[in-house]
Amino acid sequence: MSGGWSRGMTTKLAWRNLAHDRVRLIVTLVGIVFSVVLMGMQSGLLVGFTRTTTALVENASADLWMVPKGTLDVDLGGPLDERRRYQALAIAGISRAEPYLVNFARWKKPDGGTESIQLIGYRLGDELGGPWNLDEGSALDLARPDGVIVDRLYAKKLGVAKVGDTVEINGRRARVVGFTRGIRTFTQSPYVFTSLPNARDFVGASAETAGYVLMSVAPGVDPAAMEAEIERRIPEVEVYQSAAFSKSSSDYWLFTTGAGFSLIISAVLGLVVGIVIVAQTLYASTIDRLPEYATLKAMGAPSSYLYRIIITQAGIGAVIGYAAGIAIVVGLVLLSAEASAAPVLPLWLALGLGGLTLVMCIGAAVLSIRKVMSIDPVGVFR
Amino acid sequence: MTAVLRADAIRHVYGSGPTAFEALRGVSVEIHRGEVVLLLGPSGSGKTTLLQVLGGLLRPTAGTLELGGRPLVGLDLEELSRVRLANFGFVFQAYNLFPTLTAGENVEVALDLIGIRGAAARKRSHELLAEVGLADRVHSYPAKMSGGQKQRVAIARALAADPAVILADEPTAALDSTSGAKVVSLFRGLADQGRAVVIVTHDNRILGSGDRIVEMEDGLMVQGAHPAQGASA
Repeated sequence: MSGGWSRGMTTKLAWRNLAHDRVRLIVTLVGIVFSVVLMGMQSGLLVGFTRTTTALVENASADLWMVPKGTLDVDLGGPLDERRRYQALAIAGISRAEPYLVNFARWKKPDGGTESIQLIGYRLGDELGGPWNLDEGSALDLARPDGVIVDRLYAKKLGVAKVGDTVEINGRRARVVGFTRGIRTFTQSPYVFTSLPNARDFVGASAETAGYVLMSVAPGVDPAAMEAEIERRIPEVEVYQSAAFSKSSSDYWLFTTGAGFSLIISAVLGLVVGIVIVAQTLYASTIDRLPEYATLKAMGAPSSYLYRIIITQAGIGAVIGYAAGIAIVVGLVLLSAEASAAPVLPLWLALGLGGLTLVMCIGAAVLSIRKVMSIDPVGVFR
Repeated sequence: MTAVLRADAIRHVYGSGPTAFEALRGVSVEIHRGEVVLLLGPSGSGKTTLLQVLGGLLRPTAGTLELGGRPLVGLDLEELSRVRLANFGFVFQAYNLFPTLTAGENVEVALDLIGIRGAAARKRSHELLAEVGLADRVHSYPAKMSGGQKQRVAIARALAADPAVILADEPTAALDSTSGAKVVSLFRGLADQGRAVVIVTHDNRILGSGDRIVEMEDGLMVQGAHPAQGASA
């Protein structure tokens, strides 16, 4: 007699146990699918919002951000004297320092309606802080005294359809010279890119006013060391490394406003609902099959044999439920690609959801395993 | 004749305190290879409890139990499981087949537990089912089989590990006389192959098929503890 047993037979028993009761199988799978979709969409929105709130910082190509003291979020910066830029450039190790303006403004549509926008002013000819994902037009056209670039996602909201459309920003004429694709804003005030002089004109700021100073460090220079050095030399400002400012911006919107917590709580609720449904249906299935488990025990099957059947049942449910659930999530993500608040599903999130689904289902098997642990094989004679 | 199974002064008490019930009150019995032992007695006499003790399913409150000279009392639950798997085949009144598996697969589960799997398991399960006259029902599900056929599948399953002892609890109680006779005939054949067969029964129809009748009453053995005492009726 050889020891051990095959995975094949326990898998067969597990699958037959599941498939034998179609209604219960469907209820189990619906519960898992619901859970996967809820977790997937909520965490997808969380990741999407995180990307949205950090998009300006992540795509600015700066190593360091000089910000007014107390600034936590890139969308809510205060004015900064452009002299700080020259002070930064005077520090050895800083290779570039460019002013950057982020300011709310009023956008008057051609049909007369108005919208709030966030005007982004950057120095043309420099890749720091400019628009990305350009879909039509050229950033060089922003050299026009009225040129602006908007994102296609918000074209309808802003009442424009094509290059050449004219609008008003804070009462001054502006002309659309290009469109980007997929640059979202968390505040729902669309980003509108323009040159720094245009931006200053639109918001009525002086030629010495900036919102931030974007900096690059010379090759081989440690950004952390430069951050500390600038803050030591210019105590009136704060300096962030790009990743830190990105995190600060997303933390501000997601956690200070509570938006992130509500998404996380919804995702956790999805997990809890999944655990409860799977645990209930698996437990009911185990109760139905107690005589069979008792028979196996009487025959001499070790407890681990029974556990494997139950865990495999949970695992099969997880795999099928996840496959269906993630397909729905992918469909919803694709459908909402053009929405202003779009969930995203990076590979790591899809894989993580798979792992979480498996853990959820196996965790839900604990009740059943405890029940099987208590089975007395003597019961088969009653 | 050497006893394959020997129980001595077995006591078993269910519960404790004022509600305690002594189901076995010092039972001694020997079971030998090649014999069919019928365990009789009224309800509550302790015969099923004795069967459970003999099969290593229930640890007695007191007494000794030996399988082929090896003491079983004192083994932990996992050790007892291994002993049952290797040495005992169980047959139950309600068959206790897995309803979601075919007859062949039911036998394959028992083979799987002892490490026989794949093609070897399928071949062996076919052989065992052929041995009980069900070669043509390998792919049938229990729901599509008669009571007698189900009991024969259960016997084939009990034989998977080639056990020395077959323990059966009322195996013919739910069967008609023809099916019951077939099952009893199978047990007779198993004993003739050198196995010991112990059958708990109320079924008067099979009393003539045992080599020995052991009678119990009120937790005590009143007849047939040893072969010489209980010649077939």
